[in-house]
Amino acid sequence: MHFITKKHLSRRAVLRGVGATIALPLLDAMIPASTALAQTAAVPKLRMGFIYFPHGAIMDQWTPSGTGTDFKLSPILTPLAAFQKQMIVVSNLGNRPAESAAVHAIVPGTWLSCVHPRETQDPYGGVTIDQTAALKIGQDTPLPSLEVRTESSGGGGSCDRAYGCSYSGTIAFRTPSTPLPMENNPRTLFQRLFGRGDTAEERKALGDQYDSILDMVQSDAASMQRQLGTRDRVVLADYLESVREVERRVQKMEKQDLSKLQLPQVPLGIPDQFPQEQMLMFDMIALSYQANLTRIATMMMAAEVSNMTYNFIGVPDAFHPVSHHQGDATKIAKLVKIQTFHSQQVAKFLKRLQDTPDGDGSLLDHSLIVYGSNMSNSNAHNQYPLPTSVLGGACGMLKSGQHLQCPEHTPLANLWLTLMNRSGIAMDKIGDSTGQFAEI
Amino acid sequence: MRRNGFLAFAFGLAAATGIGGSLMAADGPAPVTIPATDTSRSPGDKHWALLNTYCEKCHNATDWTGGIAFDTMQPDGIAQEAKVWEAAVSKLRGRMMPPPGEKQPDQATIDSFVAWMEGNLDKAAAAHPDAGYVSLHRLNRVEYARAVRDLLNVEVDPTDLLPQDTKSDGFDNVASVLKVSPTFLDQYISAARTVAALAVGSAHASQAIVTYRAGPHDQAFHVEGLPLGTRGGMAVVHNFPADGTYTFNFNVGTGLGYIGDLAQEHKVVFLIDGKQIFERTIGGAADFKDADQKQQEATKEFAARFRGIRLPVTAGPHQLVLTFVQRAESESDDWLAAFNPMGGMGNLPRIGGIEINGPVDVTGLSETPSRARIFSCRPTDASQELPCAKQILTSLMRDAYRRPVTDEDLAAPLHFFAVGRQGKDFDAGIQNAIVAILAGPKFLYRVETDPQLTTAQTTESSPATNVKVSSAQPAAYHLSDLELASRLSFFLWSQGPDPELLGVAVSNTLHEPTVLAAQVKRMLTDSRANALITNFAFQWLQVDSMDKIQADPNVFPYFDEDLRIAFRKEMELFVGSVLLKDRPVTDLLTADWTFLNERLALHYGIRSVRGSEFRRVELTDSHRFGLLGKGAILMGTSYANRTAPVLRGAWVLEVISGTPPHAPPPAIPALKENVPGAKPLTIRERMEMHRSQPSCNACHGIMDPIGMSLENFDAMGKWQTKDAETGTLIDTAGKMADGMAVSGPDDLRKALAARPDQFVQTLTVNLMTYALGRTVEYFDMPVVRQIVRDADHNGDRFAAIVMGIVNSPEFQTQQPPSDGAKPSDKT
Repeated sequence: MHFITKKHLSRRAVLRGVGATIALPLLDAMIPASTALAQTAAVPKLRMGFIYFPHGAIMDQWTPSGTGTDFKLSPILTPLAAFQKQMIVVSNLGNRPAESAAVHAIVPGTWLSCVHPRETQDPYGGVTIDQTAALKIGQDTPLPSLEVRTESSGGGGSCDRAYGCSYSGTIAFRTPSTPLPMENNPRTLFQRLFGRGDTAEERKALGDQYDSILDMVQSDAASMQRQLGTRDRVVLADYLESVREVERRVQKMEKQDLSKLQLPQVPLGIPDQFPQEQMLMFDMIALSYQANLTRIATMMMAAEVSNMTYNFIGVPDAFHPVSHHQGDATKIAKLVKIQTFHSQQVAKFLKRLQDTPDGDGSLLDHSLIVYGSNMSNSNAHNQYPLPTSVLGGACGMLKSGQHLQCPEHTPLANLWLTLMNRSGIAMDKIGDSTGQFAEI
Repeated sequence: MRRNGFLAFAFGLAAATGIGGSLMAADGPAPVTIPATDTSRSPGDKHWALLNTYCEKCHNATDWTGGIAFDTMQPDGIAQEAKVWEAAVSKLRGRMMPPPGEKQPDQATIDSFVAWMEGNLDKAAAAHPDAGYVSLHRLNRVEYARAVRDLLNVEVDPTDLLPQDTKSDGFDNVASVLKVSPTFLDQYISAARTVAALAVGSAHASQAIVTYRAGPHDQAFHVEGLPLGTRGGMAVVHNFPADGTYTFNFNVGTGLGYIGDLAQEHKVVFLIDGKQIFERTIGGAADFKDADQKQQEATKEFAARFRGIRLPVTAGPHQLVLTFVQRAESESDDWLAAFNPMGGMGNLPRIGGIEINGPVDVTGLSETPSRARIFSCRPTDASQELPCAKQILTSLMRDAYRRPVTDEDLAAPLHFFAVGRQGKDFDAGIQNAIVAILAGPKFLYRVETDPQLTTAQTTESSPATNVKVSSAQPAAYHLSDLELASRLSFFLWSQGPDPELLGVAVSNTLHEPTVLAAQVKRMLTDSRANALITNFAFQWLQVDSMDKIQADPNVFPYFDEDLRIAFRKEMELFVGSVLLKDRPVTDLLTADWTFLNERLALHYGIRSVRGSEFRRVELTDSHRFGLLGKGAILMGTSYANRTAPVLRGAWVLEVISGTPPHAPPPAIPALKENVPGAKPLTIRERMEMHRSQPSCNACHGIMDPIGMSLENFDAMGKWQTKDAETGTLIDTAGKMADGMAVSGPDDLRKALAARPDQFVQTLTVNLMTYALGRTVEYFDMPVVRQIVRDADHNGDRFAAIVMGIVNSPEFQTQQPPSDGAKPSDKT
């Protein structure tokens, strides 16, 4: 039968057969001729992450005291103390394009673009920097980028009659009109990353099945071609091209040596405890970085207009209502608790990156993680001054370990522009940017 | 043989067009006179003079407005410039031209010109028929889900499983835009696996969590479909993969993180297949005290009551219901809270969702509807396995591929069977083969073979059609009976043929007019024809537009999701009561009945309807007659905080009259919102400011009066007499494009109903677009007009229009485009 004798299939079978248990050296034949060996190993690859939390921060509890390299962490950032040397806190940033009467509806989607969207129900905003990065440095990995979040959606107010619903559920836009959906089910995400199936054997069987399906589909489509007129052949040719593209992705995926990964149990679904849900998503990002499945990740730690309750830290109130604190000291204290908790979660994520060797350092050394929000005071829904921090070693490309207090109302886009250029992604302008930081 | 048949058909149509037309005009409600004139008239002809008098002021060789100059055109060039003339006829029929404010011909002059021009166009088309060409057709996600439901008895939600399909011409089944991408392909493969696993089930199913969330509906009252005597809650059908133990976790609360109304006791019940198997209460004096004194600890305890409920369940689909037992409404005033302006969810506890975790301790695999459908044989020893697998797969593939199965077809699925069988059992082999069938292009694409490409051996048992390929101009050809069967069933049912239709096609009798007519009749009365309502009519009428409106709770405090759900249900039942009961389609405009439940009836000001179930109601208030009085339409053509007469006007022009206005030019400012402090203006005043420019008035002068006549319906479709912002009486008076004065929905409805041919033609064009899966082009219009005339003889019944489309050369033949020539569909 012609559909099982394709050359690549037997090679895959070999790889699958042993790859699950032993670390295989890369065989020469498996490195594409055009790929320089240097690129596939040795040189550390920068990973980027953009971690968003909704509803801003209590700024006097977020902003460190002291500037420059000599700064003291604020209560909210204290959980990140272990990483102070690989941290830049940037104060006095604002994002004017994110301002609108739509309160929450356009806040997430404008964080990484700094472009004010059009007032239409259909999305039309700006390309976000994670996606620009994915285009430049994300193409060698099976997934150019990874978009994850917790909670499937927030409460009322995440849609707006002028702007629609496209900007509240994601922080990633591939094109101005293409918001990227963020995965919130860890099980689906896991299976997308490491293959469907609950055990290594099942994953192998399903992987083989996938290969066979692709072969069958190709052979069926080719035989259908013969019965079709010119015009329909073009349609089927498009279909075949997609099949081949999927094959290429599968092959890229198979080149990743996952044997050293300690894969956790496949998540059953969304955990009912919120802290576990958040950490599971962070773990997936860490695993994807480690296995080189992706280099770019975005995450929403909670939904915009989230009504999550934080009982586990003694805040039984729903997040969004309590964020309208009206200056009430009790409510503010609760908010600070929630925000501090988020920093603790991020600290755990960073620790995991730090503990994962990568080339001659750790994953954290080779990561640039932005942690912040696109809202300042949740009671005023304003976009100045924004809580913004940059974490990780970033391959030594940044002047880390400082609190940079820039002039008031400096565009957030200036920071993005700086980070992109430092990361080797040359750009002249992002959104309303007016320049770059020499200090970073 | 077949080819000759087609020519005879085309000739028949030509004859009917030329001769029958003038006969029909006598009894038709609108003049469709086709005078027995020829095209050799001089420009001095009285018809041609209309162009000179009313059109050439702008459309002349100096100005070339819209790229058209009638003074450069001649009557003997009508056939060559049919595209321009069809557009001109459409503009005149809809009174879109001449623009408002310009000199207007009277209706009789227009009717006479249109009839003369259409007669010429029809004759020209009869001389050179072009049936157009439909590209290779991919199943869209709705068709996919419906196909697997019949194939495997598996219910799946296509929106969960598959990517959204691109729309063209208002429909999501237009072949030329149904593209594929790598992600798309991956999702279809993934869907094939999901469906196959659901269908076969597995005694080795692994544990997984599935969560169902309650919909946005109000839970203060009884929910339709749930047992009587219950309040709120949700019902789902879950397909359990195996017999075993499942752990259920229920989310009971208000959705806001705290639980309201704990002072009262609420009884939560859980039912599987109608049988109550769980009951716990929440609230009451003790709980209320705990909640107050222990706070968080108490909340935890309340949640724990509804978690970790372990139950044995057998494999297959089971209905799960989680709801509250209804209390007497006099016990508390919580129902009043439903009227609070922030959405009306009230303070009562709601059901948030059901989580199913399992299976563990799998005991086996019971018979399920899917397994009964699939396993037509069960091998008892190894030697029976292959023959049995062949039998099962051949039967499935025949339905999936919509044609008889060849040995070549069988090879790949049998290979998948063998691989899946290895190390596992027979069922696993069949499941693997089903994945292969569903993921493959033979299922996903509706192949229509060009018989002129006879070099490739045909695998189907249809008669070989021997047509000689002679000239450079590709010849038109008839579809095979099998291909015709697929077109027919995707048209009427949005899925492949059933065994009966397939049988008729295999016996090669489907093309016989009586057989075909009998099949259409049978299929229209089958429950699967419901696709014509929820799929065709809903897309045509743009019912989904209302889902985009997030009603502003400050302006419409009474709006809740129950109303939106009711709007949709009403549309389904109402449109179905016209189209599927074979009433005159014009009843859609004028019908004095509808379908209501209590919630919707109160919204319409009708007090005699009680309860959550829908029933037919004879309307006494004429404002609610027909489509124009239906909430779904009125809300879908509004904004979240106010009415939009422009949208309503545009909807009528596009959906009812078939003459959509141009898209607005870019950079048009929005209508000025009233600002606090300033004197508020009515919608009419604001619109008049808005269209003060003459260039705007060309379209708005036509759209706005139509929309204004519906202004007594607020944005949610509730009757209003005063402008919400100014408090002044609403003035709905205006003039239609033909000068007829209209005020209020009754006048508008009568004006539209007075031109039934226009409405029937619009419906026919939309139905044909949907039936063919391609854009209806200018060269199709003569056939459309013929169908409309024939339908007129049959009382404008829906079935007559369907039959007209099915009998058209457009539906039964393909005219391959010559290379580089005029494409018959958009690419």
